[in-house]
Formats: sequence, C-alpha cells, structure tokens
Amino acid sequence: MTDTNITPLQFLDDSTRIALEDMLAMSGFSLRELIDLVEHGAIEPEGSSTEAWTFSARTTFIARRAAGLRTEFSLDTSGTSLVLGLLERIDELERRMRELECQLLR
Amino acid sequence: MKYKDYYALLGVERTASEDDIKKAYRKLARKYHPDVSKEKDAEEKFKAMAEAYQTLSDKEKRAAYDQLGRHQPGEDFRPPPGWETQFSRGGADDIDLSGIDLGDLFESLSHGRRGGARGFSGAGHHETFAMPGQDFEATANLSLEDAYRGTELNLDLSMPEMTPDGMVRRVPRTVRVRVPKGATDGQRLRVRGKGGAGFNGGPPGDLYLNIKLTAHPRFRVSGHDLYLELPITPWEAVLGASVEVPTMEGRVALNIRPGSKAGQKLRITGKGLARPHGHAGDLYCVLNIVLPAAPGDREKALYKELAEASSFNPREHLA
Repeated sequence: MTDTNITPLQFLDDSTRIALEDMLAMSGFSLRELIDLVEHGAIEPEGSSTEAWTFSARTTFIARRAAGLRTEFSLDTSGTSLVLGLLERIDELERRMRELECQLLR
Repeated sequence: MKYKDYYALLGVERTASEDDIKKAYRKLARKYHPDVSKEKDAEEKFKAMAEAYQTLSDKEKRAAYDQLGRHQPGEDFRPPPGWETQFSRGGADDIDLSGIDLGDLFESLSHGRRGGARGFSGAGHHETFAMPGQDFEATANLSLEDAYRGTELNLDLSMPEMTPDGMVRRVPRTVRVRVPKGATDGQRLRVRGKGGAGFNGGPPGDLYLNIKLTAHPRFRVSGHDLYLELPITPWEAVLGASVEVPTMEGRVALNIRPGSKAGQKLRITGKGLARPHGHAGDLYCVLNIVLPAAPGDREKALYKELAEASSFNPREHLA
C-alpha cells in the first residue's frame, strides 16, 4: 500500500516543545510514572504546574527509551532514572567523540 | 510458516522453568539491548530474543508454542491438525496461516485476548475497546546533499497490521515524507499517524525516523557543523595565503594567516547544515600541512638552504 500524501515531519530536538498530553501519548507512560521520573530528575519539564508542563521534543525520545527499558529490565523508577542519566552521558560522550574525529587529520 | 526455535534463541532447555527463562532473557537483554550494546547486529538479535521471551514467558502462549513440535529453525512447517481450534474459542480453525510470521501469529494471540482480533482468544472475551496502533522506528539514509537542501523520501516499510481475517500480518507500506532542511546525522523525527493502524477505532501509531547520513567524500559532519580537511603547503602555513575552499554552495576564498599550524581550525560561519529553528551550523577547515611527495632538486636545495639558515629547534623542550 502506498501513501501518496506527503507527510510533514516533526523534529525531535531541543528547539521543539511538546505538551504534556503529547508526551504521555508518545512515551506510553502514565501521568504518575512521568511525575515519578520528573521527581527523580530523569526528565526535566518547563512550566509552573503539572498541567502546564512542556518538554523538549528530544526528551520524548529519552522517555520512549525509559519506557522500553523499564519494561524490558523490570526497572523501578530509581533504576530507570539512573540508567537514563548514564545513557545521556554516553550520548554526550559519543557526540564529543564524533566532533573530535571530524578534526583528526587523515 | 517458518519455524523459530524460541528456546534456542534464549539458550534454555525446553523444560526450563519460568524463572530460568526470565534469567536467560535478562542476561541476553543486557548484552544485546540496542541502548547499551555495541555488539554487531545487536538490534536484530534483541528483537528476536524479545519475541522469544514474549511467547515463552506467557503460560498460554508457551503451551501453544510447545504444541507446534520441534523443527529446524527456518524450516517450513504446518501446525498439527486442530492446533488453531485448541487455542481458540472464536472459531479460528479456518484461518490461513501460510506465509504468516510466527511472531505475528503469537501477537495475534495477544490481540485476541485484548478483544481486538477474531479467534485465538484464550480468554474467550471479545470486548471491542479502542487501542492505539503500534509505533515504529525506521532508519532513513540521506546523502549530505539531500540533508543540506531538504528532500522527499519514499520509505518502504513492512508493518504488522490486523487484517480482515483477524490476524496480524506483515503488510508492505510505502510512506512518503518530506525531510526539510535541518536534519542531520542521528536526528530523530516523528511522522505523526504513520505507524501501525489502530484497533477498534483507536488512533494510528507514529513512525519515528532516525536520520543516518551516508559518508561524504569531502565533508565530515558533527551535529550541524561540517568539517573539511584543507591541505596547505609549508610556505602557505609560514607566509600566509588566500586559498579557495569548497562549501556546499560553491567555492569561497579563505585567508590563511602567516604562522598557521597543522590541525588549526578556521571557521566559515553559516556554511554548515541548516538548523530547524535557528542559525545554520558552520564549516570548519582543518589545516593539514602537506609536503610534496617527490620534491625536485630545486626544492631540495631551498630546503637545505633553509635548514642551514634557521636556528629553529622544535625539540628544545626534550633536551
């Protein structure tokens, strides 16, 4: 089956903000689970109240990973939070490594 | 239908306890999970293991799987007579199982329980509550030129979908997307509503794209910045020069200052990849001082003269 309509894309990066409802739909977390992760510092929203929370679209990808990891390894919130922090650190180190590799002379 | 040996995939005996199966899965998941593993083909291996675990960790599915008997992995086989009926309370004995993926078959069993599918309903319930479709992830390979200018892509996907016979089957789908300027290597994009179809009126899932840029013969990519190795001669490094350098939009003049060093980065602002909501990245020229492969007699003589005239000692600190 071919979809002939051209579908626009949404960038999942820090320049796009995602509302709470969309975040819940994209990550698959319940509101309680998301609040737990926010309280553990694994995910950082903006906004003065829970209802007004918005998230960096990049965060939605982290939340999706969190949802997968929590299920696949039966992690509790503390474990999920810790793993996410480490994954973020690996991402940052890999980004830095790619940048330095670009500067190496062949 | 091709046979998959779920026990072998998890490395356990067919008599393994639930606990043994869980332990084996955890151990392998730790090794092959795409978020933590650097093993080759980790993602494919993890998907296969996860499929095996989803079936063997569920008593009813495991019993149904065991009833299929033992076959060689990849071998074409047919379930024993009455197998569909035994595990169905919805009259599923007339379902055509040819060409169906074994994992999808057991996925149908899950949907049957949730009330979405006809047949294979172990619990015997047929509620029809709406369920959103599954999200999918796919890799979109782009050339640097396409990422720079933006492009349209036809993504050929194979998605499990509920067919009218109530079974989950792989359905080929082509999704057309417009990738605007601003995508770069490792970028994640969401294509809303282009995942799996929803069940019982539920909304469709989303498609998530991971952008992968193919290697470029000239430019290297870091985020939205581009890097170009720029060869210069020793005398250009010492005396300075104006040289032409390629960019994604044609050639520009670049000033090399006197006394430039190898590895030094010269920035050309805004000549990198566009950002979706901000300034474009930059182009960095990394200076590489190169020597003639085969210097002529005159060049050698001049180097000799320079050696005699210069008191420069780069190894002074090692003395």
